[in-house]
Amino acid sequence: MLGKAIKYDILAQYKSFCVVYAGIIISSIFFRILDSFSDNLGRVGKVMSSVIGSIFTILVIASIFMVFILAVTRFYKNLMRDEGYLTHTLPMPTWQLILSKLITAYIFTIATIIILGFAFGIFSGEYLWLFELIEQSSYIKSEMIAEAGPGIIPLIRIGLIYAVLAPFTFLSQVYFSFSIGNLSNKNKLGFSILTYFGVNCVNQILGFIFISIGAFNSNLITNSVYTATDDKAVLSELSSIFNGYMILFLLVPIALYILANYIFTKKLNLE
Amino acid sequence: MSIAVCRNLTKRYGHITALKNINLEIEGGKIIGLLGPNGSGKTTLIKLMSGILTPDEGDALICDEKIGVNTKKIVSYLPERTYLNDWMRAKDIINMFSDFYRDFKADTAYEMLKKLNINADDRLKTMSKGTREKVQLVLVMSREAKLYLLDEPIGGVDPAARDYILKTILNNYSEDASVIISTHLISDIEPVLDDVIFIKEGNMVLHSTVDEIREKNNKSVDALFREVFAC
Amino acid sequence: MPWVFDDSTPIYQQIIEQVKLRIAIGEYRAGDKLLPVRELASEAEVNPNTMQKALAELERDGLLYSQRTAGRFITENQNSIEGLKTSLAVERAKAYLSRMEMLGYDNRGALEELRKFIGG
Repeated sequence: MLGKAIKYDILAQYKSFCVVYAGIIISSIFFRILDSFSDNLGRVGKVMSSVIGSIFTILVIASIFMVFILAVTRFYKNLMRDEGYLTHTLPMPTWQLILSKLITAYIFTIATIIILGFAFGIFSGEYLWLFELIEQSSYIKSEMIAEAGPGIIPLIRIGLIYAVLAPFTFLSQVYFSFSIGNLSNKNKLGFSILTYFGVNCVNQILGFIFISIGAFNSNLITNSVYTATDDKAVLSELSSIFNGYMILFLLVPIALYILANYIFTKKLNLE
Repeated sequence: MSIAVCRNLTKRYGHITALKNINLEIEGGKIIGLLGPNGSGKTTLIKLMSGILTPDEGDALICDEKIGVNTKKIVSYLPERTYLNDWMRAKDIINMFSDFYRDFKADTAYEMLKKLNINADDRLKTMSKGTREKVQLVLVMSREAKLYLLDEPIGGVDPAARDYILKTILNNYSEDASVIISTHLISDIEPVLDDVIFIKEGNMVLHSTVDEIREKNNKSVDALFREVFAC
Repeated sequence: MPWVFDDSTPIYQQIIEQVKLRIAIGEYRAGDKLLPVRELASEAEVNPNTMQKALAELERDGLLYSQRTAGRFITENQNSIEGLKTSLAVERAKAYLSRMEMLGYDNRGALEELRKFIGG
């Protein structure tokens, strides 16, 4: 059943994405074509080139926003509005309905990243940049260590983990806010938005507290005095601080996600 | 085994108690009218049985199972509103129902659409409200469920379609399934009903067979309704 | 003959009346096979249980009989059918007389009016 839910979640959104993806690829191709004549381009040609470049940029930004905006609107429409009368009477448990939304969001995130990867390659003329990146990865790694010390590697690793978790962190806040909004009888959407701001604030504050504690606990700051001696040592300390923050970054979203599931299952209040 | 049992079912919305301590039992092979004015709690009761709402007190069982994934497999619910995704075509929705419901008969659905002169390739967005409602009804009746919950199925529909809908409900009749129809249009539907349940301000004030009502009161259910719910 | 129901009495009783009428006028002939309960109920647009109740009572009265696998049939007993016609005729006569009584005619006066009307 989960697979079927994912299938229909994708079907509901893929057309919008295909339009934007097509726009991105086409404008990148046009730009590349124009740019390859750049020596022979008159003024008009140069203006056209800028216009197409701008369109490309706008579409790229739009596609990134789209992933999250569509994920949020799809969740709201499918689970909390009229469509919910169909969704919640399907013979599948609520946790599958919600998980399907999460997985679909990740699918479109990955799809967008892949399309953007290709598009940038076309746009810049370096079509094989991805392959080069992979080929050169160990060289790049050793250069980074030479420049910034071994501490850079765990930092980048953590950064990548955060990037992968970011959609989940964002969506778990959204789902939780919607689940609280669902409890209201007067204005579900309004309550959801309020809850979202609340949760966000609390998360920011908690984050600040965690990082401060991490910073003070590390060897960077003793007796409130900055004692770091060189950049490379700083980087190692930073990664241990972020490791601590990881607990917050992972546990809070998981808790919110579980709560959202519980509320939608036991306290469904469809209008 | 009864098809449905409600035990002390209560639902509140803030200060308002929409349903108060509902106790009822429904056997198989019955067509039951759920009658009451707007806001009396009929829709709330149906939503509780379909799993769209969760009760504050008490519970409901469908074929001895608590409301959940297993009951949703055997309950076919027609809400009063359009719940289908606009961009889909009728045949897309038939495919979706076939995907999710094992008891869904796609052939029956296509046949019914044909009889109602509805093109399965049309998008729901392009259909009139009445046509959309007919499509929803077709989907609900094409399932071989144990309990059909129909919330105002004939309200916004023309008389010819109304007849077709009632005929469909009768043709679908089976001894181990039951149909609960919530409606205002009592006189149209009375000949089709076995039992009626009157709901007034969240309370169940009557649960009787249509025959008993006519025999005891020498009037139709429609007439009795007007008496009980006189403004 | 279409099925017509009103609000006054239980529908199963009205079904019984109308089946009897159909037998009396010959729409259902002796030995005819009836449609299955579900189809008959659908035709009459009534609840199948209601139709079943009516047919069961007609069976008890001897106007219908059922054969386990074959279905339900109108009785082949001509006497029963004649008897039915007679009792329906009597009912109608009673109805006529009671309505004439409302107008002030006693039985003899009512009979006189009837004779005048028929022209004999």
